[in-house]
Amino acid sequence: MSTNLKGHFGSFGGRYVPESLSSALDDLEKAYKKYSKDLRFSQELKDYQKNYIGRPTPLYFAKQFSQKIGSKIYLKREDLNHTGAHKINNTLGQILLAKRMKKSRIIAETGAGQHGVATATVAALFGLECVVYMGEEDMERQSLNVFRMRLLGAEVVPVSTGTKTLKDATSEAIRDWSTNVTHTHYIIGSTVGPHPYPMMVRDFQSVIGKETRRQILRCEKRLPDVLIACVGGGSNAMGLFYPFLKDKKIKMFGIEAAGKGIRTKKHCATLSKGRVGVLHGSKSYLLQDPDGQVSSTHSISAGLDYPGVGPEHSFLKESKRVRYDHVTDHEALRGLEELSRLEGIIPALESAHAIAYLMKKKSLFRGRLIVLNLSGRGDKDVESVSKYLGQAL
Amino acid sequence: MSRLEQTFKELKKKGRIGLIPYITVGFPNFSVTRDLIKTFDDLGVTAVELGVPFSDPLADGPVIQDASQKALLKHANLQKTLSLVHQLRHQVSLPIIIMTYFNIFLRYGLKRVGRDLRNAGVDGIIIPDFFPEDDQAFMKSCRSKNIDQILIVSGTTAKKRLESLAKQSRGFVYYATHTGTTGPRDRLPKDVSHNVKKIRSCTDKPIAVGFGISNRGHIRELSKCADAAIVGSAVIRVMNSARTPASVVRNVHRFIKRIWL
Repeated sequence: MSTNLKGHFGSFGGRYVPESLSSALDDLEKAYKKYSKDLRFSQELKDYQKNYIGRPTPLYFAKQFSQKIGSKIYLKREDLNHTGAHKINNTLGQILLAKRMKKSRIIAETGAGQHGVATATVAALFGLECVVYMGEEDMERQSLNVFRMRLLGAEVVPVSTGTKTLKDATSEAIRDWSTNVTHTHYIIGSTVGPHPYPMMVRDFQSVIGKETRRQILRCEKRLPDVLIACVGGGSNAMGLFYPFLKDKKIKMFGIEAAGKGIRTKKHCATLSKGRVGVLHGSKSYLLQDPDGQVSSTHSISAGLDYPGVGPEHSFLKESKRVRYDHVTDHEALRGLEELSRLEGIIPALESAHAIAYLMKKKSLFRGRLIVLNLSGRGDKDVESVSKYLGQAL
Repeated sequence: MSRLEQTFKELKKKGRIGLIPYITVGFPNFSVTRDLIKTFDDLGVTAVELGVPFSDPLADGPVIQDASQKALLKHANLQKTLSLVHQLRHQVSLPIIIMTYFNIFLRYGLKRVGRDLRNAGVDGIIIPDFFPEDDQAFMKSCRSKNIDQILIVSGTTAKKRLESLAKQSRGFVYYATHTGTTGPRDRLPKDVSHNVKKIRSCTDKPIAVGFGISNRGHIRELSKCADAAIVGSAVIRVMNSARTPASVVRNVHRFIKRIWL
């Protein structure tokens, strides 16, 4: 669905931020509305998507993995994008917008570092100053990405407050933005935040679903039965699902990270275990305690390690259009190993959650035509994986 | 007329600027919070702003963030704050304002929060991450319980929006001098009096100025244009520098006298 005038998806979304951001959000919304209909803007975006990111990404039939599951599985290869994940679809769109809005400075938050790298990359491309906020714990888990960002000319600011992960990096980025709002554009990395971000990020990511639709019709002459993607904040899933939401026969699955199990406190299965709350500018499901304090979360995958979720996912859950479920760290690792061995593709730990779900619930998918969003590549994760498996590098 | 409106009316008669100190509830513990509220009442400040800590305070700088984290370790929450206010309500006469983030109220239950605030004796609320257009029903329910919901305006707020916020704000209008977060600064921004005048042209309500106010000079400067000054992080900083728990209250008392009396 599209949002109403105030940016709500049903009862979710909105703008829960300090007043100093009100005019910047209005300006951003206006600019987005104007340029999303502007032919030259979309031409420029398409050109960079093709020649810089390498789109369209392939829709690959995973024969061996399909046999294993007993269904027909296609992988949407977002891992083959420049910088190795779907994140750049959004950062590219937003920086083209920021240029037109005459902003000279770009800020971003990052968890796994993929969004930070994708932001630093486009900032380098367009010659804008770039500051990325990253939790101290994540900087340790993803030191390679920290180095990549610095190499790209970005300043990486360690965030040592709270849980020292994505949640606190996001808070710090919003504080920076509300302070430097006149000349700074904040590139949020997922379908979260105050309106218009959830809508705008979804639209920039929808290139995934639009391509998938064309590609699957070309090779299978029909639409898929099932779409599946992992959900942290939810941008890769929204990007795949959105262009198919009206096709009622297609079943959609969003897979969250159950960490060490949803009966423990060490997980981030927001849609399964959360309650409606407000964090980082929008109303959505949220992992929180009875006082309304935001919970600390855990996942082996830094990109899913977040207590909130995009407001549109909350809406799709309540309207039962998408089914949300979860897999553990352990199951996700098995998914990563399986796809590596069967297809020669090392998926990101985030995407491995969707893979693991197909393995876990095989009977649900028997004989079905499935598209799985392989949102990123696993190179960044090999160190955490080796640590988890107890194998020294 | 609400207690806040009454207080501002009297203040105007006296012809001086008011002072609204902020403290975080439960920092460093509840008994200090209780003593400080009594001290503020003795000093005759305009109102007290009680911050209920939230794990992710987007509008706050490092000083209040840190106080919030420490108060959370003491299990401070809205319920305990309301009981504290309830206990003190008959001992102090100053208006009591609760400042916290929207999720705290949402989780507590928007339907019962207005009633419980009223029953405890709270006079007003400030929610730094709330846009009135997101929840008109909540605003109405506060109004029906005679809780003054104070809205914040910023230097970046557009004219039309400024008019609408000033109109909807109750008790007073809160002008945040700096964009960004709370925290003591050396200087007031140059556009303060200009912006206060701009707000004045849209409303007859009192205007209190906050964010970055930390010393006597700031307050003297503000007395030329504003009705009250809100001092938060600077108070917390004084509390932090006290060597013993007993001296916390004494030092804050001395600080308030120095900057305002």
